[in-house]
Amino acid sequence: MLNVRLRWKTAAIGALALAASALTATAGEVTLWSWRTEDQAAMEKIFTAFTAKNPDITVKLQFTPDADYQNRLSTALRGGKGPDIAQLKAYGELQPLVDGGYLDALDESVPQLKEFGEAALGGSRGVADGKLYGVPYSTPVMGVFYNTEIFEKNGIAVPKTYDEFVAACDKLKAAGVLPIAAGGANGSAWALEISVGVVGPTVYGAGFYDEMMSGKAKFTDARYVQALERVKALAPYYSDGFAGVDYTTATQQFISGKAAMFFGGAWENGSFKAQNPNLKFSIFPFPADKAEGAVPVSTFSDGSYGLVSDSEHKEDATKVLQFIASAEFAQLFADNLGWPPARSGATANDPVLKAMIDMQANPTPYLTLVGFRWQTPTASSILQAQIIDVIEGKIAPDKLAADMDAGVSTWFKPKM
Amino acid sequence: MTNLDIAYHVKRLPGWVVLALWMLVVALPLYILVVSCFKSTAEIYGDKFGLPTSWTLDNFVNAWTKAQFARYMVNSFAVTGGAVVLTLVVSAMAAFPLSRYQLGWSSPVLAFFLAGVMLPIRLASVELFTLMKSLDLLDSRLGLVFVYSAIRIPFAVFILANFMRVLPRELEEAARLDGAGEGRILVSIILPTIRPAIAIVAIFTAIAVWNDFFFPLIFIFDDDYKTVPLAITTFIGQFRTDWGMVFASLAISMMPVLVMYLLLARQIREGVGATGGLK
Amino acid sequence: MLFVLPALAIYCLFVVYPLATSLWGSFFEWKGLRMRGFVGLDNFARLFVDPSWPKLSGAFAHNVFWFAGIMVLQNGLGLVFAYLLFLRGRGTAFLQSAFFFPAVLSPVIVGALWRLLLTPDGVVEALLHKLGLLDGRLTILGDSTWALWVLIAVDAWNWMGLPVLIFTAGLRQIQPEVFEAARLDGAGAGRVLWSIALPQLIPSISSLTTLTFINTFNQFDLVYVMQGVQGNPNFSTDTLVTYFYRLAFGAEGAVGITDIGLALALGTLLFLLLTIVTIALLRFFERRTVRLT
Repeated sequence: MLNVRLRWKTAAIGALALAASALTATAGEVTLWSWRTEDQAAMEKIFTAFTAKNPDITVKLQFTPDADYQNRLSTALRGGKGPDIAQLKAYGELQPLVDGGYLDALDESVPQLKEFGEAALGGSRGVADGKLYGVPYSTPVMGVFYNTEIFEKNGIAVPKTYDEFVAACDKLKAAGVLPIAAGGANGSAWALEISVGVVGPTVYGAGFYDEMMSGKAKFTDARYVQALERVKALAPYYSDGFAGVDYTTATQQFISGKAAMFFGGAWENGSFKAQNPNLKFSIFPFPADKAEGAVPVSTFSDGSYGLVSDSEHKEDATKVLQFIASAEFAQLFADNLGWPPARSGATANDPVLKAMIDMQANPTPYLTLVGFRWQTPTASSILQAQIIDVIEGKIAPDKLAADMDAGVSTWFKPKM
Repeated sequence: MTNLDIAYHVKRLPGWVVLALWMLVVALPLYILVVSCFKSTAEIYGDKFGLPTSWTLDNFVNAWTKAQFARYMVNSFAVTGGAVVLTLVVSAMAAFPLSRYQLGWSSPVLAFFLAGVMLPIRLASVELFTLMKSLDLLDSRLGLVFVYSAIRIPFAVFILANFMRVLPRELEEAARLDGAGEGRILVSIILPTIRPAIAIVAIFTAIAVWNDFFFPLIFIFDDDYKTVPLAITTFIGQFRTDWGMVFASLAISMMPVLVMYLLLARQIREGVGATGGLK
Repeated sequence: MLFVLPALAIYCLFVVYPLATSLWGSFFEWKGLRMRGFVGLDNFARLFVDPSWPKLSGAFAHNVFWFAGIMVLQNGLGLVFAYLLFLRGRGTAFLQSAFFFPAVLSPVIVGALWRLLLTPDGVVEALLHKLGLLDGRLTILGDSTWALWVLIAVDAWNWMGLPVLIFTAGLRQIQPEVFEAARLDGAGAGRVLWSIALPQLIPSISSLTTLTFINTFNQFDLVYVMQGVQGNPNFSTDTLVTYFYRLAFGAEGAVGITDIGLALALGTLLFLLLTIVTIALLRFFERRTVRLT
């Protein structure tokens, strides 16, 4: 009993000491929050380069996994305990934070934003006032990552049509190789929404986004249902135990060379390389039925970095944001993370990055994100909830499409 | 051994088998946890049940350094220690007059405290959040200490008052005649005689606070102030691919309760039996 | 009186006051964290129509299943274990302690551990393969039909020690002569448990049922750690408190928009449910106890 009491006594003393020393933020330290846990090492490297040139400012990076990021950030901002700089989602998911008055507009303070194209900036504009609330960092494309070694060994060329794609999958499966690493367990359903984004445009076409926006087409459109059916049709080629495999495990299957392909976005490039420098891989756009012209590929502005209104280090934070908006950052970003930077002009030293930039020839906005994440229920939230059951055959694709349509029609107003 | 004895033992055998089976169900996951801590991630995938081929401490080192686990441990110790001390001090002070004096208001006040044992405080988290914000107690270990103490006070007052009530009156009469103040009586006469009750309250408060995840989740945002359970949830999202490290971090975070349990299993067992649960 | 003040102050400020204002706030319209006008029962009405109703009814059903599952799996098995331990008397303290050990662990650790064990290509799968009970991948955590029951089983694993301890303590308080008499009458061990011990265990059953009820309807941690705050897959493991959290802290629909009015209305209903049922349970068992003695 005695030693236990002693332990509590020391703990209590420790508690008091800590309470006394708490809450003394270092001067010149800017806190930055991000959901890209995979990029921690690369981002630390990039911001070390910044501190080398600005010795009086250090950037303290903190990461929260994507699934919890948005609600943790908005709760912290509501409590006045947010970071100085926050990584922000784009489009509709940005608006609640703008409406809440938690962010400062950057049009004046970060003049470099004028050098960005509208495709990149569109994601970080406040709808109400048209001002820019973040410095965008990337306009990723989505496609099929593939292991070039496995493809070569099995005599498979990059498929140009959907039938060729299926044939390649069959061949890989027969050879005992997992064709497509995929899974949606435990909060990874967003990765399956990506699959819809990879496959979808090749079925519904590049012009479908505009039809949806103007109200001419709906999710119940036969083309969209067919896109969902195609994602489901590939189920035999997904990871064994698909429903229990989560995103991280699926990426591991690809990274370790167990799987031949992975449906993903440009952001995978850097983290794949970081986790297995020996992995030989590249990316191709998911093929359409016929091999004609450039295939439509989903693209969007992934997000941005914004200035938190409650920040007590606005001056330093603005300097960091100006750095993020610079050509130097774009190059560091391209070299260390390997996804297309939002600011054009960076040199693509990495072949995979080059392949991705080539894929941007026939871009179409990533439908569920750019178009339908503006209010609850978002199309994404419905899609993500049901997609596993659709692929497992428990819910029919047209039922999911109907639910998505019903969900978004509670708030969506077509733009004429 | 007579035939009757053998028959008796044979009859008891199925029961032992049932108990042994459950023992296995309890022990196996913990065994896997322990051996996995010492394996490389590749080996965890490869040989799941065997002992590690070469015992490595890398996982612990990684968890401690890469994930900076030390600061989460410090935070958890600080919050738990603070909450236990604060709860004990104010609850003992409150239980004393409520149980020892015949006052008109003591039983309604006691009932008011008692109600708190069952109040679903999580449902008040929005207003609690607003309150913590206005007191500037968000992102603060001190804030957690207050919230946990507030939640544990009802249980503590209830247990301490029950123990104090049955103490003989003569105990304090003599001291009072000697001119000792109420505070002195409480500290030097009452408290030493109810040490078992204090131990029960301290143990259960410590376990509940150490394990809690909900309040750090809504009140703590900065990595510097996160407690172990909150850090674990972020951590498995971030380092999921490094199984060895995740297992090691789980093992580290259960170490304090394990040590406490090994030292105090009997008290805890009897405490649960006597109070009907600690949750 | 002065002595009572610190405890009373802390308790009132951090428990009673937020709870009272939460109940009051459920009758108001909210914008972010700011309270707007009085809207009467509007928030409550919104709970029971789309899009909230499917979530609310689903979460409520899951909580009911959870309660039933824990009552049978944890408390039922716990009674059997306790009785077996009780019959064996000495030397069982170690087993009691071992059974109780998971209960001192945080549900976060327990959930994280089981999540690792239950992944495809994980330990449980390998074990089932060895026993020949399964071929192929183990995907129950991603299966909307089974995921909830897996979580319930993990919860039971976590807290099994509790009924064991409470029931053994209860059994020890029964007069030994009662068992002696029954045994002389030739009743088997099972019969003695059912018709002699069980009625005498009403106080233990009462506190366990109440505890189980309160705990299952507060269930949050396990779901969060094992399935995420959305109660994946497809809300099949959603509970009332995870739904409350999503509404209150902006995780519903993943865009960071809160609906405090709806959250507080849900909180108020849950508060009423918990209070009324808890009191009813205690009353019910109290009457039973009185009649028997």
